[in-house]
Amino acid sequence: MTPGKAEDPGPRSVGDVDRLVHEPARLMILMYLSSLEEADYLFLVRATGLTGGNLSSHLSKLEAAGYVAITKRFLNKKPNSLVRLTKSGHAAVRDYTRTMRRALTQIKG
Amino acid sequence: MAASLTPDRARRRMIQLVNYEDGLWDILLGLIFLALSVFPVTRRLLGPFWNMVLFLLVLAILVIGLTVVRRVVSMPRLGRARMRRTPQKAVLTVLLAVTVIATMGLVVLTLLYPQGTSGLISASLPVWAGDLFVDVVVAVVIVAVFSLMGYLFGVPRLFLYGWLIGLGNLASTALTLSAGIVFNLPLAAASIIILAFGGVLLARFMRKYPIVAAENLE
Repeated sequence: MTPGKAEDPGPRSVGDVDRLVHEPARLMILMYLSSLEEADYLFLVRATGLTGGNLSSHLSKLEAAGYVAITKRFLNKKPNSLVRLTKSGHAAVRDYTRTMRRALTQIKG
Repeated sequence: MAASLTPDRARRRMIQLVNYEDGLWDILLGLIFLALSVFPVTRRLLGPFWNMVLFLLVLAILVIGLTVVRRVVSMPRLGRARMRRTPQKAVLTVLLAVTVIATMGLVVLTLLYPQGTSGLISASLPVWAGDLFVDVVVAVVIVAVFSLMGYLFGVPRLFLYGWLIGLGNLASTALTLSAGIVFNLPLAAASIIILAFGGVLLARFMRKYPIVAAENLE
């Protein structure tokens, strides 16, 4: 190890990946939400290609982890839920991207 | 799916979906330039002032119309989303402002000086600059702005639109100067091609995203 340099986390970094974010459908939802201020359910269904029930299930898990905030409201007397990424959600996406980049660099050698 | 999804790709995908998926922006652009191609003719009938008033009125109606149509046609099919405010978005806003200013500059030049703009400043230009100097510069600016937008937004057809509008405007001025044709036929043809793109995209959008009852989703 070079003196003065931070210790190389090694292959352990792959294991550090947030598994809640790592699931492909949830990762896609988080990636899309990270570039949006907010989006409603219908938009997320269209963007991700997931079914309403599937999306709802993933959003519930993300909401429970505090990564997304869901605001329910009525628009023209119809239910409309707005979803946005919270600060910890943005941080989770950032951390995940950083960890995966590091892990891929290590794998490539 | 997510395996090839990078933050940048996700951002571009969202820009495409929020702004360009329904083809309404293309239709608006096509209609604005179609109006521009006709306005040298209406200028002869109305005079420069009322022609400008008419153009601004048409522009306002088109922009308001786009907002209404997007609310009625797009939102029930695609849902609602707002892009996040980021430094990248600030760049995009500046680009859009440049596009609008360039477009409006073109409007003023076309409406006020239908016989060609180069004659206005040809006296101050060297002989080699030719009769179409200003129009070539305008065409280059339009191609550059649209190409940059196409690259940043990840919308390839904007490259084509830049060339169509840039060359269409240049060819229109050349025809006016050489043959005295007032109606901007090449620009009208370019606008109709853009309108056709918009129409096809809108039809595809409506077929791809049928209206879904909210209670079936949530």
